[in-house]
Amino acid sequence: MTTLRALCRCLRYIIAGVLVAAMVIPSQVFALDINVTAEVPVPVPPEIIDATVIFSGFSYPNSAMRILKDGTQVVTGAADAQGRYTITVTTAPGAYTFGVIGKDIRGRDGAVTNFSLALTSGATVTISDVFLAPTIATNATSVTAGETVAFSGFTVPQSTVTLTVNSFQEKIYTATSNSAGEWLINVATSTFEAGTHTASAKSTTGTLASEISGIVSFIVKGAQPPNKCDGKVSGDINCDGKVDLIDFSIMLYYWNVTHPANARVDINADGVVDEADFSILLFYWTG
Amino acid sequence: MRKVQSVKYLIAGALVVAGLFGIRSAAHAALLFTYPQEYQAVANDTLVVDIRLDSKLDPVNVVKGTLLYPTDLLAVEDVSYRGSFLTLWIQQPTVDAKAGTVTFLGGVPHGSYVAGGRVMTVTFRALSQGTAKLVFDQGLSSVLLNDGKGTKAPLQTQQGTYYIVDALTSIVRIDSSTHPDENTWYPFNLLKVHWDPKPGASYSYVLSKDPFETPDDLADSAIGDVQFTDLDDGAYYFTLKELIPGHAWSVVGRRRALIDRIGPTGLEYKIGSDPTAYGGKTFLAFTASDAASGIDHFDVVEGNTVTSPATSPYILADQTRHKGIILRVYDKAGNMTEATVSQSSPITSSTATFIVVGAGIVLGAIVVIWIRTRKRKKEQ
Repeated sequence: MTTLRALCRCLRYIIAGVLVAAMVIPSQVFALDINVTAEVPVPVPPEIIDATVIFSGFSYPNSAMRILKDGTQVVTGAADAQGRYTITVTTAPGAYTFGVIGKDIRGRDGAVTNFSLALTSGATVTISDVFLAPTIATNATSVTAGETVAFSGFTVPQSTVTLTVNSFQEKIYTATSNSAGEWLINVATSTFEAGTHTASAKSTTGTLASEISGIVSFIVKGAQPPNKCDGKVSGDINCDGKVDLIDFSIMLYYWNVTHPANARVDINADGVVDEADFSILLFYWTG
Repeated sequence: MRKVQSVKYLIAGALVVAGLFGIRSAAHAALLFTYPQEYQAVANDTLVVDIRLDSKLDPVNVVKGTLLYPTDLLAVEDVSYRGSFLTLWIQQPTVDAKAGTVTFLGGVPHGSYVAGGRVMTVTFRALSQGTAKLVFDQGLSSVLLNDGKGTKAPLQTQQGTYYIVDALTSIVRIDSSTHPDENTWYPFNLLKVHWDPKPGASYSYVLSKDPFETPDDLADSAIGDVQFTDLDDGAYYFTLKELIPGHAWSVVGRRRALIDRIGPTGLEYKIGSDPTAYGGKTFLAFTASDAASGIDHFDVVEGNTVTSPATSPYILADQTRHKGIILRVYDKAGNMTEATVSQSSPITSSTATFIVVGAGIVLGAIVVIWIRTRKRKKEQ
C-alpha cells in the first residue's frame, strides 16, 4: 500500500511537472510544423494589339525606301520603275513620328517627310499619295560669275520639276524629268550677285505636288568680296551657313521685339519677331 | 503579350485612301482639340487632358495656343510636353492660375503632318461638382504651315466638356507600395496594387494606358493584392469594379501609376555667340526630349560649379572657356542623361611662353630699378 501510495504521489508530481513544462517550454518544442503555401496568381497583362500603318505614294524609280519611327529605321522597301511604293509598318499602339525617305539610284537621300500619328490598339491607318520631294545635287559648289551651275536629281518620271534659287531676287526654273525620272536644270550665273546662294526643288505630276526638297548651296565668286550674310537662307540669323540652336537662341533674345537691332531675326520683315519668323526658321532648319 | 490583329478598320476623318495628300485645298482647316472631348471626373480626383492637333492636309511646324479653364472647378497640377511632336519651345507651357489659362508656343524643325498628335498634357485636380469646359482662345491660338513663309493655317478648335461629380460613397481605396503617389513618376516597372476587399464581393479590374478603359464583368481570381511586371514606360490606370451579391457590377475605384525608366533622349547642344544678342557673350544652347515623364530640368557644370536648373540659352560663367563643361538633363522620374560639352583646357604652350616672358620682363625691370637706386645712394 505504501509503495502504491508513493507511486501515485510520484505520478501526481510527474503529471504536474509535465503540465508546468508545457506552459513554460516554448510551444515550438511541442508544435507540429505545418506549412501552408498559397500562390497569388499573377494577373495576365491586358493584351495589346499592334497597329498597322500603310504608306504609299511616289518616290524615285527603283529607289530604296525606308521608314523611320521616332528617328530609328524600322522598315525598308523599294519603289518600282515608275517610282511607286507601298510600305507597311506594324507597331505597338502609341504616339509616334514616322519619317518616309527614299534613296535614288545615285545613292542620294531625299528630304524626309514626317507624319505624327496617335495609334490605338488594332488600328490600321493608310497614308496614300505621299509624293516625296525630288533629290537634288549640284555639279559645283563654287563658280565664277557667268559660269553655269547644273542642278540634277530624281523624281517621278515625266513630272514637272520647279527649281527655286534663293538670291536677292528669287529665281524660278522648270524642267521635265525623263522616263527614268532624272531631271537636269542648268543655271547661268551671269546675273547672280557674288556670294552664297541656295536652291531647292519641287515636282508636280497631274494633280499631285511633292514636298520641297532639301537645300543645296553654291558660291558665286565675283569682283566684289561677298558680305558674310549675302545669299544666306532665311533663318540663318548669324550667317554661319547653318540654321540651328544658335539661331533659335538669338531669336529667343529678340522675341516679340519690334524692329529688332538685328534685322535678320525679323525674317519676314514685318516689323516684329513672332511665330511667323519662328515658322520660317524651322522650315530652313539644318541642325 | 502582343499579336497582330487581322481585323482592319480605317480611322475616320482625315486619312482616306483616295489621294488625301495629293489634293490640297485651302478649305481644310487644322483642328486643335482636347482629348478626351468629354469625360466624367470625380471631385478631388485628377483629370488628365491632352491638347492634340490634326493638321489635316498640310504639314505644320508651329503651334501656339491659350487654353481657358474654370478656376472654380479645376486647378492645374502639372503641365508637360512629354511625348509631344513639338521639339523646340519658344514659350514653355505656363499656367496663370488666377486667369485660368494655360499658354504654350512650340515648333518642330521641317514640320510634320499631324493626325491626333499630342501637343502637351495638362493634369487637373477636379475641385467641386459641376460642368467644366476647356476652351481655346481663338484670338491667341494659331498653327503655322511649314511653307517657309510663316503662313497661318486656317484653324478650328473644339472645346472639351468634363462633368465633375461628387466622390462615390462606395469608393474603394486603392494603394500601391511600389508607386505610392499617383502623381509622381517612378523608375520601376513592377507595379503592386492593394485594396481591402469586402467579404463576399467579387472584383474585376484592368490595367491600361487608356484612362477610359473599364474592366469587363468577369470576376478576376486574384483579390486584394495584384501585381504587374515588365511594364513599359507610360501612364497606367488601374480601374476596379466590384460585384456585391444582389447588386450590379460598378466601378468603385481607380488609381494612376506613372512609370518612366528611360532617360531623356535627343540631347542636343551648341556653343555660340552673336554680337547683337546677350551682350555678345558666349552661350550654350540645348534641348532634349523625354517620351514618358517629360523633361524636368537641365544642369550645367562648369569646372566645379553647378548651375541647377539651367535654362537655354545659358550664358557661360567662364567666357574664356577654359573650364570643362558638362550638360545634364533630368526627366521627372529622376533619370539623367549627360554629355561632355567640352573638356577643360590646360594652359597652352603659347600662353605659358607669354607668362614666362612677361614675368621675365617685370623681374628685369625691378632689378634695373634696384641697381640704379643703390648706385644713386652710393653717389650721395
